[in-house]
Amino acid sequence: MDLSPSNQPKKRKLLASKICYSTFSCGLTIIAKDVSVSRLDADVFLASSVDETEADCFGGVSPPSPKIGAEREQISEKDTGCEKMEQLSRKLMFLLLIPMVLTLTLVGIMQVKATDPYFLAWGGLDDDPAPPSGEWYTEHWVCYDIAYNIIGQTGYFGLSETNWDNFTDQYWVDFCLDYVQENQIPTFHLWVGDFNFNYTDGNYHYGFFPSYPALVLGPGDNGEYVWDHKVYDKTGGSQSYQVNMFDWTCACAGLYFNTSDGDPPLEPHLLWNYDDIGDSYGWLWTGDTDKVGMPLGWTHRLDLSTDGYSSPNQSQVYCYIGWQNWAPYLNQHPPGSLSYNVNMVYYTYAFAMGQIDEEYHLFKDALDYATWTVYGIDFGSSYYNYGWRNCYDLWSRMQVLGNSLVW
Amino acid sequence: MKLSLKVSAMTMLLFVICASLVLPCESQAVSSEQISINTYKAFLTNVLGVDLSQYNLTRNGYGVSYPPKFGGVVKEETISYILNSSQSAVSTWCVLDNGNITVCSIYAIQGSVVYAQPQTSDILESTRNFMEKYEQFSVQFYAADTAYLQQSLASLDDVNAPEPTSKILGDMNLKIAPSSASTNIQWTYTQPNFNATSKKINLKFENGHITWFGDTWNLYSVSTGTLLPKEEAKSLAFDEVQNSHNVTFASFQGSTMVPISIKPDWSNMTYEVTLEMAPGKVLQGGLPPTLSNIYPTITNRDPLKLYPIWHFVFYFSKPIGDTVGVEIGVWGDSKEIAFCQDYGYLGGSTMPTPTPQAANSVGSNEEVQSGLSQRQAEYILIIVGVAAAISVGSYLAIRRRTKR
Repeated sequence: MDLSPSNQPKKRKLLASKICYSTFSCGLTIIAKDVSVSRLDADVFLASSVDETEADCFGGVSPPSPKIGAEREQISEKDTGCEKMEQLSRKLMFLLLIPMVLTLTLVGIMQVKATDPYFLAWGGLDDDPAPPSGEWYTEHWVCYDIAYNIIGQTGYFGLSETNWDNFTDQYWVDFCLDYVQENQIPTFHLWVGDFNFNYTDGNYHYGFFPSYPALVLGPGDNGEYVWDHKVYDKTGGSQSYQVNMFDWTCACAGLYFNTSDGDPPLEPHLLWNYDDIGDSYGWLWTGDTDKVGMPLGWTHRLDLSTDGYSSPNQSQVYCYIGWQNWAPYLNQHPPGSLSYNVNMVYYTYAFAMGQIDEEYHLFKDALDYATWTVYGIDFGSSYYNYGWRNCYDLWSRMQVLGNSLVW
Repeated sequence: MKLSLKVSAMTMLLFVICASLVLPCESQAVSSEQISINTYKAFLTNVLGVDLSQYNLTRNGYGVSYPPKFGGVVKEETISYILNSSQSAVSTWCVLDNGNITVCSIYAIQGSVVYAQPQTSDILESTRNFMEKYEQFSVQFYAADTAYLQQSLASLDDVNAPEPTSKILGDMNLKIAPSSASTNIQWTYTQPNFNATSKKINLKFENGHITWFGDTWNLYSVSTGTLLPKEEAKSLAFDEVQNSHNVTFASFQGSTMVPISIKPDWSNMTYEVTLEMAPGKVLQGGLPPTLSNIYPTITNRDPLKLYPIWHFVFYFSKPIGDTVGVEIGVWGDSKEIAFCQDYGYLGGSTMPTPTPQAANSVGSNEEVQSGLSQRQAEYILIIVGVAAAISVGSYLAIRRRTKR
């Protein structure tokens, strides 16, 4: 699973050369001109097949033109047996062609770019803020824009779509994970929204809030939250293909809400209930639900570097960016800046995916570029990396796990 | 015949005229890009001391924009390379605003950066060397006023070690912040009542070498004028949040979401305030493009000038779900409200507390499976429906054609 840019000769293509092809399949949007070509081929095939059938029926005569239509009618009157055969064969042909066209389209969608990475944006907000709040719009906008106007335009990703507030729930996460794991598709995720927690069988679990449509319309309530241990169950096999996660929710990069001392931890630390295992972003034991921590859930690894920005583990391809404790709204200013937090997310992808200078970049560089747009300094020197104390005397801090020298 | 000759001649003439207009523009564009690339390479070589002759420059990136935050008046170019050699791989990128390098990053992905001359391990000496070379570079490439660079060098005179330092020399505030992983050296424009962090020079050292450089000192000027007093700004800001700002919740009537507004409890309000110096168009062209929380202004501000904004966060007596308060800005020159928005965190309304909670229902696997099957069934139904529609439509069309 080599994702190094040097092995990816494709450079960004012009926007005009891309055809966005919305499809019925899974509510996904496929961005692949190859797909549209296969669809076009199928249409041509359909047309030529009709002509050939007609030609055969008329003893090898060329396809009928309007001028020879009258002759054709006369022949048909003389040979009603041939007409019946023709009608029957047409019916049979359609019965066969329709599933064939559908199959070709599905094959095109599913396999044309199956080895290229996928990008999926996710998230949902709790019962506030809701439209018309700026936070709701900002989260919706950034997921949409990154999926379709940044990554969707690279020409490199096999699929790029947002499920934010539409398809974000455990069911759909499971479905997508099953698919990309089975087909060994390296997948990038952006998760923006609320965090939740749950106490099950002695473990405090990390959860993502589902979208409201799922929450209201689905069969359950808490069952549709996206839980760490359920994600873990889907990312096993030979290895996890969930290579990249930018997770803008509270807590899910390693640290639970805590504590009396409140100082920003230098390492991820599960102070609340896992004092005995020391610094960690995850916890794995033998029970069904003894799989704690989102980074563990998505990457299936317990050996990620806990400072993937300054000390990246270059033997791995996984990069998990998230928050310890409180993640601030995207639609507000970080301390000491009048730029909005949403710029941090947007410009990380804009720079990494070549929208700024038509070249792909390492996520470390992308984090630096994005922080520069917000603070005018690099990520490592900023509040995002060092953290800050909020009004409840708790600390907010971004955490980069694994290897930021990827992409 | 004569007419066609005339038409041909006219066409040729028009073509030549168009070509003569277009070609110089194109060559000018190319040369402008090349000038910036040469400036960047000269910076890497002459100022940072990188031995570019040892490297293959790969993955060359180049992009141009006219950012809304500069009111569209600044040409911003971004240039990037991966420098490859047998000894190391280095990622480097820079941004030029109106032809001047405002930020540069250089980071060794593998091995170490190859320099033309041996580098000192003394960070302060390295800083002085850098600033002297940078001054020469600025004179040569920008023809710029370099008095601020001499001032920054002078501020290092009585600094003997890269220890935590904060000192003011004139309008320049020097800060040195060492840590185990890196050392930051920053000069910020300062006045008695504010630090203008947008107008600064900064250097970052990692493993003894410069990995980050930024200089926006000459990019921005600072507005002068009477500053709105803090208490008056607070009064204006709090009036606005009390009278005009509600927190919006989602409620549901069946499957329809109905937003509801809630008036916050301000009875035990607390607040934080900072005075920021922000470029005149800092709130323009933000992301997403149309944020309703940014207020229109009738004051025409220069995008390359820094203006005061009083930045408040007023906290509710108790949180409303995720929202803990309201963030609001007041222009310190015109008394206008600059922005006003919810302030909170993405934790969900069921914030954990140190007391373990009762076990919640996680939902059974059976439920997950049935939900998945339900959604798959919906898609299959859609596919079958589409297929049936195509079949019927096509069949009818062929039938009609056959009858004809």
